[in-house]
Amino acid sequence: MRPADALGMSAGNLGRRKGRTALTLVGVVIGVAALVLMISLAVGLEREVLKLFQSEDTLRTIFISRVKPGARKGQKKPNLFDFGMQSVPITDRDIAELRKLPGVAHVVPDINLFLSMEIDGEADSEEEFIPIGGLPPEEIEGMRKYLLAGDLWTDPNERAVLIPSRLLQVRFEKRPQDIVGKKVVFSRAFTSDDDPQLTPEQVTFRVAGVLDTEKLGIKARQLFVPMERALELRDLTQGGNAPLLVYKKGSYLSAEVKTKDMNSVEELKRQLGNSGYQVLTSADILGTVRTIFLVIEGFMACIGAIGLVVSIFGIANTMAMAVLERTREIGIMKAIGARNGDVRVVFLLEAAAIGLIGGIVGLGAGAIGGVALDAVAHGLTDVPDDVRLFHVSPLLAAGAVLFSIFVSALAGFVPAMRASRMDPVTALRYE
Amino acid sequence: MDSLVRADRVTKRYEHGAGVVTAVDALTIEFASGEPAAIVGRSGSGKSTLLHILGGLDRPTSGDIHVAGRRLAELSDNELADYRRTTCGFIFQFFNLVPSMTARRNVELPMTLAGRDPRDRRRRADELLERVGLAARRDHRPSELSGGEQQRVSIARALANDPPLLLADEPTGNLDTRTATEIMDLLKSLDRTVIVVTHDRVVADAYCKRVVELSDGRIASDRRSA
Repeated sequence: MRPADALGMSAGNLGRRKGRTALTLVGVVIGVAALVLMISLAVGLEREVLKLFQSEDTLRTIFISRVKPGARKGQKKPNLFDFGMQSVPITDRDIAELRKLPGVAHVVPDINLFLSMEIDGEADSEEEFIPIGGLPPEEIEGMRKYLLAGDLWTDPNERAVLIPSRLLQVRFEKRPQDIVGKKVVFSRAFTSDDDPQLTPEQVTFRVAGVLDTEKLGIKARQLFVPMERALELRDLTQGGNAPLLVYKKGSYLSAEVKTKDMNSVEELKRQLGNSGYQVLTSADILGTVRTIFLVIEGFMACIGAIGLVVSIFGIANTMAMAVLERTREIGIMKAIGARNGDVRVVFLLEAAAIGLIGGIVGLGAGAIGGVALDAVAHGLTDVPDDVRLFHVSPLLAAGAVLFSIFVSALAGFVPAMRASRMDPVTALRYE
Repeated sequence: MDSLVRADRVTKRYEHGAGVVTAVDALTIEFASGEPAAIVGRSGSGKSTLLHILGGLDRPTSGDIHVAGRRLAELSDNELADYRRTTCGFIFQFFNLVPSMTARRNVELPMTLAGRDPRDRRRRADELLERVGLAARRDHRPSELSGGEQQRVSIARALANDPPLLLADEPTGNLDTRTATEIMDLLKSLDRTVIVVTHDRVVADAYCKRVVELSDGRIASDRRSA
């Protein structure tokens, strides 16, 4: 029998029992929709997280720290969550040496400075300390492409600040264009009055510009001030509210080595590793993040698949009934020369067609559900507008439909086998 | 005359509850090509079972069947299906048309199973329906056709793949006398070997040169008329 004819026969048979097919389909649709919804949430979250690491600037960065020799025997691979409790600080001298390495564009110490701030006399709505990063003169021009409003500073000694847009939006509820040129006052406490050692002049900065959080990637949480001023602030506040390391002038918990291009990242990483540094690149972080999300996606898929597994029984039941009802027809088919395989394929295709239709409709329902839940999430929380929590990738879409077809065909397998093995004479006698 | 069908010591036993029923008992018979034959006998005489075995719908418990040079015992299930599709056409008492399909689709079905091109088989189905006088009713479903018309469709279907042998199991058993006569006339006009199982001696004597009577699975008489 030609495949097209088998398909036509199956479609005709499904069409003859529309009501029952529709009811079976509901089960499959719900199953596939749940599966798509669950996995698309995991995939969506993964995409949002990965976005943070995928700016070119981040990919050129090697994060380095140092631990006491022998502190962790046999451990070669850096651990993303292993904050250096036994770390050896990186000093100004180390940084000067690192700068000389071939392939290194420049080295930026993590000044690990957390301060509270006021913009234009208004305090942070969440009363949390805000991380402050120092921007070396080499990197200022590179920030231009992230500017949403205002401009970069021209004097690297100016007390000026670049603010990421999301921080502004979430913590201060201000629009970028409204705050350019306004005053920012830093302090260790939540109001500047409580910090008598600091003169207002030392902690008052001008808002030079606002940066686009989305494009900025992983560093979008921090403010940027000129490196010189960042170091000065750090010394003035005795390290501010650094949570991880006892403050000491000229030494740092970690640093970022910026390579001249992306190709030299791996070579430099090896070299730095051999020199006793713990090294971590965006690629390492991406790998870890992917692994974590793979587990999450697998878990979500298992939960989502429960619905589909339940619907298997619906399909199996429908197909078993169809075989019983069409016993005589099966006998006729066999009597006039249908092979066992012909009968089997017609029933398998019917089951698979339920899977195909249910898969496509379920995929649509899941995708629409994701968009709806996204809208709800945006309405109820301050998730930024451009963040999509649910993402239906082409792979997920194809996978969901194929899985639905496969599972349905599986459910139809036993009934189809029974149909194909029927004895024609007995089947013809069936009333 | 060449023998088209040869059954050699064919036995068919059924397990029936505790006992064993012998439906066909070491029966040896030949049917010549082109000679219309009737198998008659009371119900339970084994005539339908014999026809099923000759038609490859059932396998004998022992014995050998040769049809058109093929030994049925040697055929696998798939080959036996191919045999049913190509070598013999079956006509049933209760017509056995697929209720959801139109007359034309029913006639097409054996060709569909054979994988023939759709346009080709549609043309052939229309030809056959015309030949059995049902060209005008080709788009009707079996439920919209009379018994005689349904049997005509089933004859057209049996001819679809142009088999040399037609096997008819009580083809007139469900029809009134006039329609029965029409159907038998049609079968006679088809110009191929027809073996009819019937309990109707009148039909058998009127249309078949040879009448074989079975009783308890054995040949009770085998008569040829001039």
